[in-house]
Amino acid sequence: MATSSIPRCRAAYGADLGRQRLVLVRAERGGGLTTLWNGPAEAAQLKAAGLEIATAGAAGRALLAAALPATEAFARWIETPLVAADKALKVLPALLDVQLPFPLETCLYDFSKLRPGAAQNFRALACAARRTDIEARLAQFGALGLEPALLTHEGLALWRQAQAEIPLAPATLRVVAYLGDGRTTLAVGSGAQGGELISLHGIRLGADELAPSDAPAVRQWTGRISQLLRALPAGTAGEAVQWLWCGPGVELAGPLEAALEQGDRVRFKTLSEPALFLARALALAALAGESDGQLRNGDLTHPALLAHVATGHRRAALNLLCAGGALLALGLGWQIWLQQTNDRLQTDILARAQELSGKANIQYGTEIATVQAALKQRGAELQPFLDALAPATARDLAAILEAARTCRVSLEALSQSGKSLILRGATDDWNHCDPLAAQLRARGYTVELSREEAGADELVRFTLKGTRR
Amino acid sequence: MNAPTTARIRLGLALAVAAAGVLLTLYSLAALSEDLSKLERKTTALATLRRLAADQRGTQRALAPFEALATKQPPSLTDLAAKTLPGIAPGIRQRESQGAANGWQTRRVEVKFDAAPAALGSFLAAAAAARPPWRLVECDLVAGVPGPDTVRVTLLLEALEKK
Repeated sequence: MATSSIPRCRAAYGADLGRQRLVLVRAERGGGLTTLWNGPAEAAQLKAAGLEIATAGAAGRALLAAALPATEAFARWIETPLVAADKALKVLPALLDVQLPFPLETCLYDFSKLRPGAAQNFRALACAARRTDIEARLAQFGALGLEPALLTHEGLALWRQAQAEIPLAPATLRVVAYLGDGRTTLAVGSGAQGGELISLHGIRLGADELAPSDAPAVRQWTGRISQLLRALPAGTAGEAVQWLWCGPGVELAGPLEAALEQGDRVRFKTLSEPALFLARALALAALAGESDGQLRNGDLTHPALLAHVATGHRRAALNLLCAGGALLALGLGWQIWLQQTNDRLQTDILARAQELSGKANIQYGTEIATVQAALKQRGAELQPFLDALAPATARDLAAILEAARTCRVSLEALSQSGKSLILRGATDDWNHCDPLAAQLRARGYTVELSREEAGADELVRFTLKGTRR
Repeated sequence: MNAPTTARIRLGLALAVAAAGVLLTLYSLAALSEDLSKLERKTTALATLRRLAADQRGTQRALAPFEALATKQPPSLTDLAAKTLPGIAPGIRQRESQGAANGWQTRRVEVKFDAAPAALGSFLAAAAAARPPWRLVECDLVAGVPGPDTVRVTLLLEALEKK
């Protein structure tokens, strides 16, 4: 099925199990790598390592990752004409079924590296293996007291780790060759395609068969290799070829290189600590949460992974509950605050309106109008007090009369009402009425002065109109 | 109850709470503008009432000097005239009265007399200085009546009083 969810542990173990040998490596977060076992696969001698792995696994601190040999698993790129991931995922099993040499119902499978292809399509790397082979492999580990949580296609782990340890140069075809005691696994990819894996292959010939330099076995082996390389996409034909050797049978690399077709374009290299490479690759992939090609799935899924998924669901539900609860609390809090603030403001408004208007019953929404009406009436009653405190008109008038006398102006009539004052008079000089006007201005009046030319009596008649500002 | 059922119930509950939270948030956001306007209206109304109360307190303060007076009756205009207009008997006519705040009332009086302009000034100054004061509301003055050095004066005076 689809890619599994892997718990992020502090450590992970990788197990490379051959016919007679077992390699166990522990990888820890922070970069520590420890070889727990590299020797005969005998349960009696593995008790300590098995106990450590079981204890760490039970405590959720570590996972054991193992590989399904390429000879027992199937890997193929599958392309669909669909570009939508969800739709493509639905048709991928049917497309895989067509390519499998046995019924899909008897297999467990995984799709990884799902991505849109170059030709408006959708491609994924399908890995599959027969259920019986998976169960048999688990039983092999079980017999040693080991219970791998992850069982991946070994070719994927080899390719990934080789990429991590030696970056692939552009325009280079890489062949990662694992020499086991009973099998050879090849992971082939190209730098021209962004370091993407092209194909995975398994050959049922390993160090046991090839060791005595058995000429027919080596010929069979090289023939199979040549056949596989010829089947690669045409675009890779001109690329330099880089062989990377690893696996417990790596001491055979020299004789095999000699048997392989060589040329200027072909380079051979051995990966560091080649015997530990697959176990290391499996451990580091598990530590990184990599689950591509994980074939222990469906009803064979390890309880630790099921618990991890259940925990993930529980956590997701809890997060959702918390987020919903927070939104609910925020929303309710806002509504309550709004209501309380509204109520408090309305209470204040009513209390002030009642206090200012002196009325107990005031209709909602009419508070200001009621208060304004009440204050208008009250203002009329208080206006005489304000008027009485205003600058006294009587004092102004007394001062004007005194000023008129001083300026030798004879008043003919004076009329004052409210803020306006009209004064008519006569003087023997054109300018004598000016001090009178100045006196009025000084007392806050706006003054309009009009004078007539002197008549027969030689008196200048004038009219002063003043309005208090 | 098996594990998948429990998980489903747990997820269903979480979804229900989340949905309720989202719905309430959406409702609150939709009503936010109206709610804030309502709050602003109320805050503005309260501020208006506070301003009116402050104005009212200012107006109310005008009462204090009058309430503090020992005598709440204005001095008699006849007495004022006797002091400032010697030898003149003004014609005094009571006019309208009107109620004011706190039991006070305004009383208006019309005063008519003939006098020298300087004497009129003295009378008016004394009226304004009285406590409670006489306030000049209207004044009409015609010169040369009845003689060249006198003026005919008609005054409308107003005073506050409390009985």
